[in-house]
Amino acid sequence: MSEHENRLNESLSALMDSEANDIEIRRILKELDANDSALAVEIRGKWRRYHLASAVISKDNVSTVDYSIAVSDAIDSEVTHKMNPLTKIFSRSGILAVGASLGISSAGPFAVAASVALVAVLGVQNVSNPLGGADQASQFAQSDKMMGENSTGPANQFPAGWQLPVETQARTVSASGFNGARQYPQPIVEVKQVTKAQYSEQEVRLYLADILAKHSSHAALNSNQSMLPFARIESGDAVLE
Amino acid sequence: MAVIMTAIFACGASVSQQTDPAYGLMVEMINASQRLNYEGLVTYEKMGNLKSAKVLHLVRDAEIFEQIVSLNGPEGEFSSFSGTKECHKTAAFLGETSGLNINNSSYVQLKRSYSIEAAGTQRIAGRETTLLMLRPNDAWRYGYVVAIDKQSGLMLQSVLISLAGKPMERFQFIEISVGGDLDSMEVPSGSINLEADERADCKKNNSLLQQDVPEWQVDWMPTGFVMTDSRLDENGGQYSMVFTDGLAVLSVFVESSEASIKIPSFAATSGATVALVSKVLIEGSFFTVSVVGEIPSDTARRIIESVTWASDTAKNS
Repeated sequence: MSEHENRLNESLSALMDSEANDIEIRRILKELDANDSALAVEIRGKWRRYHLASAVISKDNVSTVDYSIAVSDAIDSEVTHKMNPLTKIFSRSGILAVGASLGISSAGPFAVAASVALVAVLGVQNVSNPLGGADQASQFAQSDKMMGENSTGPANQFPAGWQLPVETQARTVSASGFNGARQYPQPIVEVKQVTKAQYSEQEVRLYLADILAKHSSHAALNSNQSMLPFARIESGDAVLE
Repeated sequence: MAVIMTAIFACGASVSQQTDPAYGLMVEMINASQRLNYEGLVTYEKMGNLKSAKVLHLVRDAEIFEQIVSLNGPEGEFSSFSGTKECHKTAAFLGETSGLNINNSSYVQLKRSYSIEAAGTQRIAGRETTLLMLRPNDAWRYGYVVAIDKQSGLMLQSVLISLAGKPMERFQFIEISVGGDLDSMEVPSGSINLEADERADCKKNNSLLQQDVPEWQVDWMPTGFVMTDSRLDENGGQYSMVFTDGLAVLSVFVESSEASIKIPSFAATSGATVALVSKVLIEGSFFTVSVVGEIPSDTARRIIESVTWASDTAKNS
């Protein structure tokens, strides 16, 4: 067994005991990233067996189904919001509604934390969702991706049917490229924080609805496509007072 | 009525002068939507979602009444009287004052942005249609496939095609009736939102393309896009501009610095529509500049980056 393998095994044990440091986590992720390598397969197997053993010892439910790929796919196709960790905490406690798009680098401790979450998910034993459900969810997201060039999953701060395009989202996974499943190469645009103002979700919604409605009536007057521009309006926000 | 009759004859004459079948179809499509009364059921699909709606389109004297009532999901109705022929800005774009003609040079201009060709036939809403493919000549705009009713010339289907060649949205009639009782039907009341003065305003605005000295200007546009409208909203201090290449339409909005405080920078897409909102710093104040349109987001981004304060450039020059 090489020194590298030894170190990996030690890191894996440490992670299992929740005692791994950043470097150790990074080491494991880097190895896992090379999906097909024999070592990666070995690490995955070990990780699974460790959890299996721990589940048996603590008399938890034991499942032999490997959910890791489905879960990982589901996470990949999930919209990730560029969020300041502080903002996230605030919004959780209800202080701040819309804090997305604030300029924080996606690398650094936050990225590492997200990576840990991802690894932790791989080892989940009691997945309440049946496998079929997980598959279905990722397939829906997938079909969205195919339909619009830039669109991914839903983003709740926008009116129904509206999504954040990929380029404004931070990738919360590590820079080593764990998120290799993206279908279209998208340039990552830096979203700069221009003011310190806090924005209300309601106002952002209203503004978007306002410019969309105005654009639709412009389009109706200017395009030759009969009533098509009206069909684009979401009925919820298009009805005039 | 006389206006309409003249217009029909005028356009008939111009069609006969052309040999390009795609040209004839374009003329037919534009004219039909501005002179025929029709109602029907339409479907609109984007991103795997299907919406259905009932549409009504009535032409009365010089005005067009349009109503669309959503049939699934949340109840909604959109009606407008603003489709006054005088307000149809494509007329300005297409270079004819009558509003019902497209002339040779304008067709050449449209052809600069798209390669237009007839692509067979298809049956839609129980009627025979001719398919017209409009492929973009550059990557700044999307392509279209439209189906034109052989009998009436109305557009019965429009599919917007992404740069990757995939359909992004589809608007299609599933049932349509043209003329008949609709020609004498009363325009539904109570659902009209535009007041008479607003309609007059529309006419006034159309008489001159630019009403005010433009405060803001866009330095870059894809080839073929021309400005058809610009106005300053009196209440909100919102300055808006409209551009079209004859098919794709995009709007540029600039908010006052006061209003801008409440709006963050963001980007959103839905089907083919992109809305890009960003900030520009002019003399210490942030202004919100937004671009909305059925255009690729790269196009929107490049446009937004080229928006400048006209007074600023005037000073510098």
